[in-house]
Amino acid sequence: MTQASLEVLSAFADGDAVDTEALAAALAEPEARATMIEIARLRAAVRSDPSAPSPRFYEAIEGELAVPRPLSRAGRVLRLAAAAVVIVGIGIAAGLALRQGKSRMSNEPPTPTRQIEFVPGVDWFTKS
Amino acid sequence: MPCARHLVLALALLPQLVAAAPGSADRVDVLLVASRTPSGEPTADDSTAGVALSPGEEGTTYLFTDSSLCVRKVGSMLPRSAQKWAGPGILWTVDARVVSIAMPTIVLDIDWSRERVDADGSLRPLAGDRRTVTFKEEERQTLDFLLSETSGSPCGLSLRVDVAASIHEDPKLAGAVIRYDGWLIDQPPAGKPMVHRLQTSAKQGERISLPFDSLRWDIPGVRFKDGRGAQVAVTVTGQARGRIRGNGTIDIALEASRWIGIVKDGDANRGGTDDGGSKTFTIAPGETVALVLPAVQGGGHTMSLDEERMSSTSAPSPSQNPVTVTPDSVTLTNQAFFAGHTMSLRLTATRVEAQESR
Repeated sequence: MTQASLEVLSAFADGDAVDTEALAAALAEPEARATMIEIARLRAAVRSDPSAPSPRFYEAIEGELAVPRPLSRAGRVLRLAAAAVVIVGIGIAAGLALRQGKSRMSNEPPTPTRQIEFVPGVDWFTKS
Repeated sequence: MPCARHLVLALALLPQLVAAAPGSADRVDVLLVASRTPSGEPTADDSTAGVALSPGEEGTTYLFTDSSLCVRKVGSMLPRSAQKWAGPGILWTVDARVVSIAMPTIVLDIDWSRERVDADGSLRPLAGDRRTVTFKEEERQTLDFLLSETSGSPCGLSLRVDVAASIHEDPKLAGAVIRYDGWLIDQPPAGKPMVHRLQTSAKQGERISLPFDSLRWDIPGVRFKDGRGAQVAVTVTGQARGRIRGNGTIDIALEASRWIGIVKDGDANRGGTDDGGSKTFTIAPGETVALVLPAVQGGGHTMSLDEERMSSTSAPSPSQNPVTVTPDSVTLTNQAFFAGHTMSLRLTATRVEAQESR
């Protein structure tokens, strides 16, 4: 299944508007059924996840959301600069993470520790 | 050094693998399944009774219906007295003994009977026999089938009685999840291999599909009537069922199939030849098992370029041409095209926490 088809099926399962031709093409792929089942499985698992932030988390956030004192001009400039640095940093980190993620999911197979062979006529058969 | 590392790993895993002979599950669930056919509706399972047995152990399940084939009692512990049956009816009794369990194969000795229960509780034999049956998980064998003698019965037109067997799941591992990492590899005689990877997860004992993307090779210069190109496509799919054992190893029952043929660019296989097989093995934590598929043998596939005709053969072809193109058709000769190719699967199986599998 192509990445594009995967994204179309995922968006469709999320209830988003999708191009109908792209959806038809994605559903025609041989792995479409298994992919839809896997998407449904993931959604069900996420919905059944009872995890929620702790009361401590809420307390901390409420403290952070309290009305701040007005900043001086220099303070505002400093805060903007800090925000810019953080955004650039997040961008770089995200890029690195994406690259690392790709390498983790790369096609490079691990070297086998053991090899098993199917034997024709014993445990492998021609069907047609 | 990598070789030495793998040798060390293999030696480290040896005791676990020896301790865990593949497929030696401990117990089997033997099920009696009654399926009924309501008038004008599909046949559906109606009642089930089960008993968990170890090899050599024997157990009984029963089903009791009234004369209209409405189920009155079902279970694995027969009432001690026939008087306990609620009125006249029909009693099926299935005695099963587990001969052997070698995942995914279960062998049962079965002794079953159908008896009429009269109003006074006396039993009259009607049918039955002794048989030995070899099951794979979730397979069934029909023991008996009875048409209802009551016209317009609310319980349907007929009742079928099957016996089924499956590996008994350890309750301690019932919620365990296994992550499967798989690689489909085609190594040509020269050059880099073509590799497709997938990752999926399933619960303990759950059968799961391993739908690898198809391996594809463009056929240059061939166009179908609608302008699309042609490819040779090999679709290898797997079905795996894994069970974690007490020592951390995972028993895997794997079925693989391979479909070879010509397709339009990007299309799924819909003609050609197919072969396949099954293996049962044990994977230890950190281990990667390579499963080597047999070399592609004879056979071939022809498609007309107007797509109105196609033909397949599994017989060896005298042609030495991997692909033969005429103005009207394109023909794949399997053995010539895949000469020197080695196709294999690599598989790891890892127990993960349920959250990790999401």
